[in-house]
Amino acid sequence: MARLTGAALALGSLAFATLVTYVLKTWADIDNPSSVYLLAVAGVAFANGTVAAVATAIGSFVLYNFLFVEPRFSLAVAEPQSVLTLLLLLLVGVIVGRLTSLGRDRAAQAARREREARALFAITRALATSPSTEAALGAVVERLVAESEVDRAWIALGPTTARERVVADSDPSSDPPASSHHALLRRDPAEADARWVRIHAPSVARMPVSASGEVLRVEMVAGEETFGSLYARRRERAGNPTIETSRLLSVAADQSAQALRRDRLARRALDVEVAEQSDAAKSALLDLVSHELRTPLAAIRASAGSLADRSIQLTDGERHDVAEAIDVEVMRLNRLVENLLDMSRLQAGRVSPDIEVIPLRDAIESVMERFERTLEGRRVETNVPDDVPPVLADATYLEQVIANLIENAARYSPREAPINVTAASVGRGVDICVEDGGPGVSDEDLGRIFQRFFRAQGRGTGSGTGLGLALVKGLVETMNGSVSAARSSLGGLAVRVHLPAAEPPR
Amino acid sequence: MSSSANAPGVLLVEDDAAARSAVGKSLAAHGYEVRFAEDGEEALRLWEQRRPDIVLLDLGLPTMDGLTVLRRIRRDGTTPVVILSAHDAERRKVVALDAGADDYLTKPFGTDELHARIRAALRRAGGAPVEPDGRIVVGSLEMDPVLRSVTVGRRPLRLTPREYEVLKTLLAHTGRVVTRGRLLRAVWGVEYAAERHYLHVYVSQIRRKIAALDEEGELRHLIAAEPGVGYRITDPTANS
Repeated sequence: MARLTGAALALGSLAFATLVTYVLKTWADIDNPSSVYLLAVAGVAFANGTVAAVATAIGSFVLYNFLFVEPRFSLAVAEPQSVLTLLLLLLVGVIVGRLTSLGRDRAAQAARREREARALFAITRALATSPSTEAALGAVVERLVAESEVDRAWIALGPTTARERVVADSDPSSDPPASSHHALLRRDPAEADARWVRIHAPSVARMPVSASGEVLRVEMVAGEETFGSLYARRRERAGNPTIETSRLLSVAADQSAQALRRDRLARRALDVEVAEQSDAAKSALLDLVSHELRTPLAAIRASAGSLADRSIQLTDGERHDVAEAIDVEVMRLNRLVENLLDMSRLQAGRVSPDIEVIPLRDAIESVMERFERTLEGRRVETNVPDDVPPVLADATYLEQVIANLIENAARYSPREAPINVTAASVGRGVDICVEDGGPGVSDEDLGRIFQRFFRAQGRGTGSGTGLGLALVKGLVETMNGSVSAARSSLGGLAVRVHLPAAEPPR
Repeated sequence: MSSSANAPGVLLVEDDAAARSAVGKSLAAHGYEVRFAEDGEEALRLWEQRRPDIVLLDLGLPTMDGLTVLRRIRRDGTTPVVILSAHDAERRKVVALDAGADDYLTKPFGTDELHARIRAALRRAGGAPVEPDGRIVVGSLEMDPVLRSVTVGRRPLRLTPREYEVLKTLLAHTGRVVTRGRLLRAVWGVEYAAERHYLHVYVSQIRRKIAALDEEGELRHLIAAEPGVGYRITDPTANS
């Protein structure tokens, strides 16, 4: 098609030049207007390259000689000037043709470079921004197919080719072609240019090469670690892939390998962190067991000992007091065991709240009744205004949350300090606030008090499990609520629990 | 046991020896005649032979599940059964209560609590606190089911029909825990009525109305919530 239009253009310009020459010679009486043909040759050279230009130049010479040079209508060359004309025409044709084709090559090269740069950018960006490298590898192979001469690309991961597993494929509808014969891009750091080396698996060396094209392979190596291979198939089987294709495949393989290495390092770092954290949690749990469990046990044992000791004469009142002390310590132990059990259930995700509409005043009163004895006469002010709507919560969890908060406040403040439990309607929910008049916690510790096993510095006498508030947070969150901590106007800590409000019944 | 002496017979079904001995001693000291069973089979055998006045049943038994024991007892008899169970077993408690258990105690429980529950269960077995004319009296609260009227300290307590039904159901089981499911079925007829989630609100309103008339605060703890399980009417005058 291009050749036909090229010929038409050449013939057209020849005809036009001939017409103009005839007009000039006949009417303007110019003796040698042969240079008009230069325009035709230059034009064709510009549009169709050197070969067409040379043909046009020869055509021009023949036409001019035949039509306008004496003896007319013969090809005999009488004058040396005509030879010069022919040479000039040929020279112009060749020069303009060469220049044009050079320019065109440069433009094509620039376009290829731009495409390559775009593809590289897209690949780098996909690897840098995708949340998972596996997903990014999919984008990489698609880019390769879109931006280079390969018609299919896939990535297989594994330490050796035999153990590779395909993780990304530009055409997932069928298995990738066999890669026993392939061209491997050999990249030697010492050599500037990479070379394609054809590899034939020895066992299948005599098998006919598949007709569907040639498989290319680039190893994915980063930090002296082989992650797998990037494969591509190109239709052409003769010659080597273009330099752009080679470069693109090479960079794609390197970038992917780097991303995989980054992933692996991040995973290792995370594993180490998790291991460290769980070590810390275990040792914290051991501390807790040794202190929190032993203290009440020691008290119980001492009390039981004095009851069992026949040499001690106890009055009825004293005996009763000792028994009461045992009871209080047992309840303390029981609360601790309950919290531990609930915490482990929470962590195992075995907690399913039964959400109901619960009037807060009742819930708080119920807790106060239950903990009357454990609180040992601490002053607890509760204030739930009438306009506070009921909350959406699980009855059991809600009571446990309030109990833990009051217990926490009591534990970390002196006996005479007040504890306030208040509720207020906030937005579309209700805030329950438990605050104490104790020493409070430092600002930097405020953000951490809901962490498991965290115990604020200098708060109280070192008792406490660091479990209560973490459990509060966990339970509140399963009920679609949130917790926050702040400095209380009473001086101590204020813990706020936000729970969704319920519509009152019709 | 029940037929022979005045001392009420208790069958304690508990697999843990220490718990069995401690609870047994306390029961004996309070004048109960105690029989022990270590597992479900033995419990059923003793229950058949002795017909105790009350069964204290641990839910976590070896070989035969406590719940199975309970269902077998309920199939053949009305002996009051009090469940003994661990913390974090709310669902099992509710299942047991709905299967006919009369009450439950969460381990570790205090002996005073245990005796109060046994007394309540035995009293209920002997008949609810109903006056000859059908009125129900708990402390200063009186309910007349015929007139559908309730008074606190002889002053009328104005309840909506729903509130009245809730209170009536609870009063009919004074001393015992009434599960939410049972309460809903009794008042609304179905367990999953739209009002299901509002049960706490109804109870809260009843409490508030009673508190307004109850000047001495005698009925302050009349309706006790058992979180995750249900409600219980505690008779302020019935104990000790």
